[in-house]
Amino acid sequence: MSDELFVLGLSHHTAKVEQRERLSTSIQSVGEELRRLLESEEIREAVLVSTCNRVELYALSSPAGVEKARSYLLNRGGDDLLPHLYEKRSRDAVHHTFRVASSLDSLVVGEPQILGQLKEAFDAATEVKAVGPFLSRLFTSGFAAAKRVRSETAIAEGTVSVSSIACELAEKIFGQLEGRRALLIGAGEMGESAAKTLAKTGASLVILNRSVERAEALARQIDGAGRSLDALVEELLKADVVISSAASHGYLLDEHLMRDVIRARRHRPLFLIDIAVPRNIDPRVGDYDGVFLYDVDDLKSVADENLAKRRRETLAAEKILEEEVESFLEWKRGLSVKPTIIALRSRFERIVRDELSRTLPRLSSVSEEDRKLLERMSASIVNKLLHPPLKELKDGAEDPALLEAVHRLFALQVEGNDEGEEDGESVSEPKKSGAFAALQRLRIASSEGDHG
Amino acid sequence: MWVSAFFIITIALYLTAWTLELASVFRPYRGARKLSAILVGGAACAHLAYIAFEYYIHRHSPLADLNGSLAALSLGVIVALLLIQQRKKIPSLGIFIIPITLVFLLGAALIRGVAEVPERVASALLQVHIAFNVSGLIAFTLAAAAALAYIVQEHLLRKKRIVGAFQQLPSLEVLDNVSARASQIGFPLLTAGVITGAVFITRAGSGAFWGSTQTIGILTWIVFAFVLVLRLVGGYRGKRAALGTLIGFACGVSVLAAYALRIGGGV
Repeated sequence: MSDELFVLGLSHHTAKVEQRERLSTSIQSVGEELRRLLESEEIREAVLVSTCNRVELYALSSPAGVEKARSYLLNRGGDDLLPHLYEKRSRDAVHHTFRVASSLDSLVVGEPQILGQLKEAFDAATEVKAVGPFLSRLFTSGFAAAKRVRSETAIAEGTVSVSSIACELAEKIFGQLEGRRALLIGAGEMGESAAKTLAKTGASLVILNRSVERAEALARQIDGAGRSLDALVEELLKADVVISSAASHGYLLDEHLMRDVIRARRHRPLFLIDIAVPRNIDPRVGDYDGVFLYDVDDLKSVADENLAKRRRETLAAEKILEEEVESFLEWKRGLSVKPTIIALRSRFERIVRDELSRTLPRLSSVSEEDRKLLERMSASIVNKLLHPPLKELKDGAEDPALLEAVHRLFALQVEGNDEGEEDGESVSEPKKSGAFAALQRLRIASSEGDHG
Repeated sequence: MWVSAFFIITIALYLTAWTLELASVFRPYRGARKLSAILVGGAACAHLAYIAFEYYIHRHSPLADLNGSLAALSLGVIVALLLIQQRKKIPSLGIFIIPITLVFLLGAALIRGVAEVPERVASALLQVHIAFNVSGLIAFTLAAAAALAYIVQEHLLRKKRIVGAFQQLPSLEVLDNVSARASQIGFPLLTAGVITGAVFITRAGSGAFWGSTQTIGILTWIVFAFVLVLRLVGGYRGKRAALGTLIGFACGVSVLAAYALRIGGGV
């Protein structure tokens, strides 16, 4: 029975985080896991991808290998994971690989991390020699497909995280944020996340909190300065970006306070991000010239709009993937009939060679030029004779009956064992990781007459 | 024939470049900006050829009449745009600058021969006066285009329409800086233009040349002076400064319009 590509795993589509984490493995341990998996003879090539949203095994194996892989995963994660495991084979598996690489299967469509994670998993598998020509071709084709999707569609455009949007907006007001001063009021989770994103751009951070200890603790984490909320006005005068996420029942930054602050700032632009609920900043403050006020709903609506835009692009992306999947399958089809084609051509050429060497010495006065002419003519006859059957073979590469018919018609012997080469024109099976073996497990050798 | 051919090629290239820039704001695609820059560069070459052929045919300086001055002004604006794009890589500024250039260039063609300078007043000083004013207007056109872009961008930001076109336009800070810098460069040139103009009128011997154009010219100078002083002393920037710059530019364009409308030409 021939080998087949399969993908076995679970993802955010089928399993909750507590289920996914039972199967997940660090990139450092992937090599060891693969070594153990490849101890099974049935599994020829394998790549293990483990991210926070998915754990998937991509492998080339016999059907028995699929069962072994399934048992392996269940042994690691527990039998109760069985309903959450999905399995994709052949074309579906290729399509799935390309979708994952292009981030169409991601929780946040278009996110760029998955491609890097796939590359990392592929490299780890290559390092332990778990990757052969088939998976190598599959993954490099997947990476190329992902690149095409990113450059030919808007799938990766527009930020979809609230903190990144806040950061992008700040850049649209101030240009470079390096050297700018950002003020975080309160130490809530969302504010902290936005502050961390801002800190990465080179802006200096000051955290104000009712509890100075808490402010200083957070400041240490993000390389900022912590102060008491009493320094609010002083810091507002210096800040360029203010992120407010304090728990407060009234407005912390009311219109009266901000009017004086804005006047004292001498028209310097101020970007206010109010991500607290209830809000910390009086919405009327946003009407002042040079003040830009965004609340959490504003940022969320931008994120939703960008995400919707990305989803609209998935249709165009899927079209690209269809083309790429077809191109990969065409390569695969060509690969599966290649040994037959080589054997067939080799057989015909051998016959011509033998007949010429038998006939030419019997002819009187054949010049070197005549000999070359005869050889060329013979080669041309072979090519013309072989053209229709070879074309049929390539077109119907996945039809085992056709392959069988060709083997019988032209007396090509198909062997299922690993015997050594018999003569120059036989097509030997590469070792375990070889492309032909990986696909077909066929040994095709010329039968009688091949030895002249 | 050559003049008309170069003129049509110039207009066509500017329009194509502008359409491409505009399209890439709403639907960004790879290479659009580069292609647009090449088209603008090509248009500038055709523009230069147009001015050169005009000079060759009429045998007078491009600054000798309003037609030539407008053609030179529009070319100067485009050269300044190309220089800025080369050094600062400010995206989409061409969207605002190219239409202004086109208006100047079409104006140059439409008011051909109307504002010929009479022989009796033509002098080297007048050429210097026009050269200063044209150079000042080149800088103010850049300042106004950046100010207009600022107002559009600020409006989008305030209305929270921050996907699509917003993402392609430069930051408010960059636009404000370009506008301020261009105004700072244009102002001394305009001042020199005003001084040489005053000297020219004095030498011509009477107040006969004083009229609405000169009044609006002085108004332009006052508006830009006001904007620059407020920027420097009052810390004004952003929308208010942008509006002031646009008012100043409108005054500057009104001077040109007033010249164009003056039947019989003259200064």
